[in-house]
Amino acid sequence: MRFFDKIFGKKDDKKEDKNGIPASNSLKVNLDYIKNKLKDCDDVIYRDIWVGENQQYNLAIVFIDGLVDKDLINDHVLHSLLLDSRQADPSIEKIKRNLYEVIKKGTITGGDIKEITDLDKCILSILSGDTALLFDGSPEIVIISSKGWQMRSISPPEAETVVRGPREGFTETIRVNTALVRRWIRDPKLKIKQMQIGERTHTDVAVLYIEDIVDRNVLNKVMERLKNIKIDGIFESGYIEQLIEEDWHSPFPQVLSTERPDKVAASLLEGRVAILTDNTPFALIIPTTLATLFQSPEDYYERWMISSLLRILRFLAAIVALISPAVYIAFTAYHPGLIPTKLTLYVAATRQGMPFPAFFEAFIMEATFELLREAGVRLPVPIGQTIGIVGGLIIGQAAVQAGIVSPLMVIVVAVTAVASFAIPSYSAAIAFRMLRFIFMILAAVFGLYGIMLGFMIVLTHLVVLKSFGVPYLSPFVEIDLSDLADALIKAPIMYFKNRPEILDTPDRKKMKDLREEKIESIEDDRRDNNDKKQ
Amino acid sequence: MIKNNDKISANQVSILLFTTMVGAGILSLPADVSKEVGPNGLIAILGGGIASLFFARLILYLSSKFPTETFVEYTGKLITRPISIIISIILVFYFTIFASLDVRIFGEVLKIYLLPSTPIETIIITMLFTSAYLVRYGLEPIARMSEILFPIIVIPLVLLFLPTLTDIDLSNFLPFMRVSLVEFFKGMLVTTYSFVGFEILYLLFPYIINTDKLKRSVNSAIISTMLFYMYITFFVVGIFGYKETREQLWPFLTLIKSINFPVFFIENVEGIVMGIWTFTIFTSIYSFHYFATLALSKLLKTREHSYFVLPAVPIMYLMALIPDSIVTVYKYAGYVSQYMSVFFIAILPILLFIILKVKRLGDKDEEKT
Repeated sequence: MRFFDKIFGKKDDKKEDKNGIPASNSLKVNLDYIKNKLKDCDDVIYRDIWVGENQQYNLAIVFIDGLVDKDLINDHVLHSLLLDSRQADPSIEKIKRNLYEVIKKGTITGGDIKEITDLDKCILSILSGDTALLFDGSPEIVIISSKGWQMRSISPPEAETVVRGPREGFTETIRVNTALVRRWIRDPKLKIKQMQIGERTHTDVAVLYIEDIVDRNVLNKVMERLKNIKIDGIFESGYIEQLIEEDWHSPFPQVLSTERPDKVAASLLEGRVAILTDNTPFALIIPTTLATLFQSPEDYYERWMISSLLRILRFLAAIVALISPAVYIAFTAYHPGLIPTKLTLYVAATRQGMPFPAFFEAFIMEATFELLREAGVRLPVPIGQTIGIVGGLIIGQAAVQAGIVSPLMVIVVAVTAVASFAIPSYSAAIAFRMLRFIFMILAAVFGLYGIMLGFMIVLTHLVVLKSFGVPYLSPFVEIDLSDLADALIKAPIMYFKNRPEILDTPDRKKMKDLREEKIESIEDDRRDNNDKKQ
Repeated sequence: MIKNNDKISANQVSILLFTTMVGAGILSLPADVSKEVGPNGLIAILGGGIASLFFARLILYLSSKFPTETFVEYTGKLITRPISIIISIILVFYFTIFASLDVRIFGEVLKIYLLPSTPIETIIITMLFTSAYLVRYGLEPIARMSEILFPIIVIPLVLLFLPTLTDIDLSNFLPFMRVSLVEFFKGMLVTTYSFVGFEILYLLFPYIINTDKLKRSVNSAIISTMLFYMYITFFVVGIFGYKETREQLWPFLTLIKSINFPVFFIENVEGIVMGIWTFTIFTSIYSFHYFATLALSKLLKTREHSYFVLPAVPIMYLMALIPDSIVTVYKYAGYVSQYMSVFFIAILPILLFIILKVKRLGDKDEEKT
């Protein structure tokens, strides 16, 4: 791997050298180059300006209409250069010697500026929404950060709502998103490393981690894999997710995506790495294990008992979503003797005169449900309700009355559907819903043994799977008791004294033991009292 | 492909040993011991467990003298290469036989209790392929699988028996120890079939991270297996009495059939137990499957064991189908455990230990290098 890195790394360097076009001293040459590159791009605005007492110095600014904050350019660039610069009167000597320095340091009132001498980089900055200020007689170009386009304001995360907890969700702008995380963690050790991925889209991608907590192995792997991505464009963090995960055959997500800044911040404090991508509100959290897919931020905000119960409920829901139609098939078709006699009789009675075998019946109903769900997702809200009526009343009711499906089957489908939505992670829920069909087929062929076979195969896949070097099923495998406190249940917060054992975090301690502190304080009080008495 | 570094921790060894040992044996163990020692089955299991513990520690001691080598390699130094090769080949077959026996018994049980109309061949072949799917990935996933399945196997089985506690008649364990010593040793010998599996220690040692904790984990594995067996035998013999127990093929399942919880809607726990038992057998099969292929790959000095995983499936399949009925299966199982198991569990380690002491190999080797 290191060998390949070396090769690829060198290639990259060469490429940059080849591509870099150093700016020349002549403004005209530079402008011509930019104009040539941005030919037929009518949203680019060029503005030639003359500055100085006698207006003898030629400058130009270039930006893209719509991507920049016009007020900022007018007030802090054009106003400063054209008007304010006349009020102050730097010595002519100074100006002659270095007009560039004077303007950069003394005239521009914009906050965030940087200088570059590479024309291609300059064009990239312009395309990202910055403003380029070019000088005649100097190869340096000043890039004024003036990004300011129409964007969605911060709104509640729609896919991950909580009853108790912050209502903020990420937006489509990476700067806003990094700021949202910064607001949670005011630690200088929180690092935000930014890079651009996509040879054409140049999408901003930020890797977030806390320097002295993060698992270095994971971080290195993430960085390495991100660097090795060679693709024309990155849309949505899903692209990155699929490009950096270990096993792309797997139905299970090996990277957790979330819209919630609090979830990202909490994960960073556990020693995980987060990836933010421009143009999407979904952040990625790495590494992800099966247990983290069943966690909701609310678990940590509510009291431990109810959180634990809810978590167990979610695991049960996953199992129900996975096997309940399969169990129905297995019991009706193969083992009616294994369920209570009364129930057997009831099932037999409802299935009286049913034209389809159990598997076919279950398959039709499950497929119909998936169809309704898919149709409901794509439709606008008002029509979406119609789908609900069609699905619930017409298909459900009518199918039972027509005697095509048994009422028990409708209940099974409904429970399966509800259960699959109880899993907090949408992508994990999809995995379970999909595997359900495989379990149904296995149950149709082998009955209960088929379901067991299914479990063994899925478990085999899961024990083999790793997310960035972390076993996917940990902490249930390579057992560590302190990690189990936050897996199937959520123990009282006093038990989370250390960061997860599965991650190799340099700073292990998460919390001082509250009880120790309490005892200390009681002893202190006693001592104080004694002192007073004396 | 995912690379696994194929090292497991001492805790995982403990669980792997437990899940390997607990297999098809639990079904027939109460009947087997009752046949030999009557009401003193529990004590026979205790004796068998202690003997197993002794020999397991002996095998561990031998392996620890050659920490980077498996059985196939270090026996070459102790008992000359040709003999070592012959014994290793037998060991490969030994593991394969156990995988085959387990899968055959599994097929028979499943056919009787769950799938009366499904051909046993289908059950066997699907089970073997599922095992092959896991075994291909090596030791680390295997250990993790055992860890996942361990609580699923143990907790429900322990809890399921509790409601029958009131039915236990303690007089079924009387008269106490009124058997001859020969009979008692025979009983102990019978239990060895249920403890078969810790021979994987011959091969396991080089793949363990924290070998210093290994003694403790071997102890806990064998003692917990023993307690688990005693727990089951206690219930089976306590309820049925030894006379009734010894007449049955699988008294364990007969007991399960008699359990019901009308309050909890579960009238019949058979389905649940069959599910759990599928896992129990699965853990034994993949373990034997893996160690057979591992020994073979060490024998042929190949880099990966995975070449042999799929070819082993048809061999185990055919071997599983050799006995014509379940009675013959148990007859063969008896032969294997009486001759081969006793050889590998008891005679071989003692022999190797003596040779090791005479030749003064092992430790000294390390010091030199």
